[in-house]
Amino acid sequence: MKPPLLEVKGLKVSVAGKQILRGIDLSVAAGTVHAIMGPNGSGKSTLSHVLTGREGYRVEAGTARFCGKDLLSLPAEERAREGVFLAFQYPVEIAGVTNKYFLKAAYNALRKHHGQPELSAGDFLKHVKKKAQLVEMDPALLNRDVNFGFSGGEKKRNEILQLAVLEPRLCLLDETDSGLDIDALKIVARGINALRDPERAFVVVTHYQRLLDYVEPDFVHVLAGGRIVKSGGKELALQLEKEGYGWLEAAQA
Amino acid sequence: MIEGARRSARWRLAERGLPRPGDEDWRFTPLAAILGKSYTAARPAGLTEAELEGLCLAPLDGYRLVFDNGRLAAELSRLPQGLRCGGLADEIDEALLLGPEEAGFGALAAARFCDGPYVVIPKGMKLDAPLHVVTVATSAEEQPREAHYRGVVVLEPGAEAVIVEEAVGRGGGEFFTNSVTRCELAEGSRLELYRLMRETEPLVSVHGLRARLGRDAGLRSHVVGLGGALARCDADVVLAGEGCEAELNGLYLACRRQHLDFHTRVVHAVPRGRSRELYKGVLDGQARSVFDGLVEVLPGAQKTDAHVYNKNLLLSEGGLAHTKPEFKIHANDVQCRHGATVGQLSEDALFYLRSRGVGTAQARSLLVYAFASEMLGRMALTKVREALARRIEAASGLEGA
Repeated sequence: MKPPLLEVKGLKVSVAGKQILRGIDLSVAAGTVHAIMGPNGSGKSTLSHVLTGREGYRVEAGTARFCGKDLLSLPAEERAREGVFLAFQYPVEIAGVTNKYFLKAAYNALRKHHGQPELSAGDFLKHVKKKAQLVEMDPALLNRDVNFGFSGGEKKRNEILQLAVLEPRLCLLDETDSGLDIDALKIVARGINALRDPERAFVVVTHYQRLLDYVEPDFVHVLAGGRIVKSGGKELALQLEKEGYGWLEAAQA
Repeated sequence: MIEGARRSARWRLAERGLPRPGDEDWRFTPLAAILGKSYTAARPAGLTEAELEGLCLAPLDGYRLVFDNGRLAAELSRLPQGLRCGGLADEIDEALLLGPEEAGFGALAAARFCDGPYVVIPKGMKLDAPLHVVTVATSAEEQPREAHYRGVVVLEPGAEAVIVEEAVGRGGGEFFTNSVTRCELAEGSRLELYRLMRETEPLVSVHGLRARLGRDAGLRSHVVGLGGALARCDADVVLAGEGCEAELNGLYLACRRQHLDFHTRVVHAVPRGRSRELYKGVLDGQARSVFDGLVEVLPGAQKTDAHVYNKNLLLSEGGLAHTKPEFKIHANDVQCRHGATVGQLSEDALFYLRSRGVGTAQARSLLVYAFASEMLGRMALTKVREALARRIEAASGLEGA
């Protein structure tokens, strides 16, 4: 059997002296979709940030391996080049750099890492336009500054476009559904579904069940108090939707 | 005639003197780096076409006036036919050389005047290509050298021109360049004026733009501060005709121990003038910058609409930006806004770029480019804009750029 794409073991993480993750175990195989759900403050965002190399987090124990490689020892850009992608909850606005330019810089950094020659401007544009179509994004957004003045829906769609262009193997989606109306949510979900692939895995971090109506998970994990307290199939998401998180906290107490 | 003009300037200088370290206008400028030396007048270094091209930011098609250590290099210049354009030394009279308001370094430039551009764009004429005015300072190791320029640009009513002033330098010795460019914009004329400060690092310079705008005239200035150990660039702009408009743009990138210094004074003397000023700076290493932007609205200059902004990006612990946008308002029906910021690269933006595989150094230069691109976007000359963009992109942080 192939090793899992992502293997997290006993991961304990603190921020500014406060322990947030208290021992996470998670194994994600290629081709699967995992949902991580949990109340606010349970450590969902910390998990996605620490896996993608954001500074300011202290790993106190545990490991995270990606395709067998020690992920936690790599700087953020190396992880991205290896094939780990984070769709941000709050995509950052960068006035002064066009979307196209930014995507090209990122795409060529990846190609260079894999020993491939940089793509010419023309070939790159073809590649991006195809992907923009796939995620139903107006190509005009490519010429605008990165996320600058984008609506909430456009920002999230832009994250999915980046995902489509960079073709990562592991996609972490951090609260991608937050701030979206139902139409935008459907478009984003269609984009994600279009990118599902036997070689690619998704970890969908979300507070609410509604994205999972459109992106069907294979596994659902409930994160509470820095631990995965329950794992199950997609029916677990429905149970959480119906009963909220209260019963979990009651069970923990 | 030229000797007489120089003599008057010497009197003026003797009367009013050079700035002193305690003067408000020179408080943050390390004057000792300029005044504490004894300079001898530079002689032409025999600059060649190939050398010149290597020194300029970008080869610009069109007209060119080249000054080699203070003197017009006629063989390197390409002058437009049929209009007055050349070295001021050939045309000099006292009124051109020394405005009544000149003192300090401006008077010094007249007293030790070598040469400078003299351009008259006749009534209603649109200069069909940019005029590139290059001053080249070639230093000598053994002895500090100096060159003093005074230039005059006249746009007659309805005339239009694009002028690129570029100051470059070479050699490892000390060199002091002191220059003033006077611009007269008559009714309805338009001038887009670039000032590219690209001296090498032992060089020091003081430059002043003095512009006077007539009715409905438009000045668009782009000051780009890149080079020099100490470079000071002042702009004095008088909005003297109703409905005229001045846009002052600045972009400076300083590193190591460079000191880049910008003092602007915009005077709204008549009603319905509009001025827009934005200077943006990036500081790395131990670099210092000064921005002092004063707008004066004189009594009666109603309906004045003026903005002054200065924004700085610090890339290092050692960088320091002084900033002082300021208004003096003597009219009551005006719209005036000002602001200043000093900030650092956004950690969020850095992480965002890195999380997409962009390396830290490239991410930093991309964000510097993003900060600067607002100013580049205002430049109409594609070649200048693109050459500057390449320069900024190529640098990962400014050190070693």
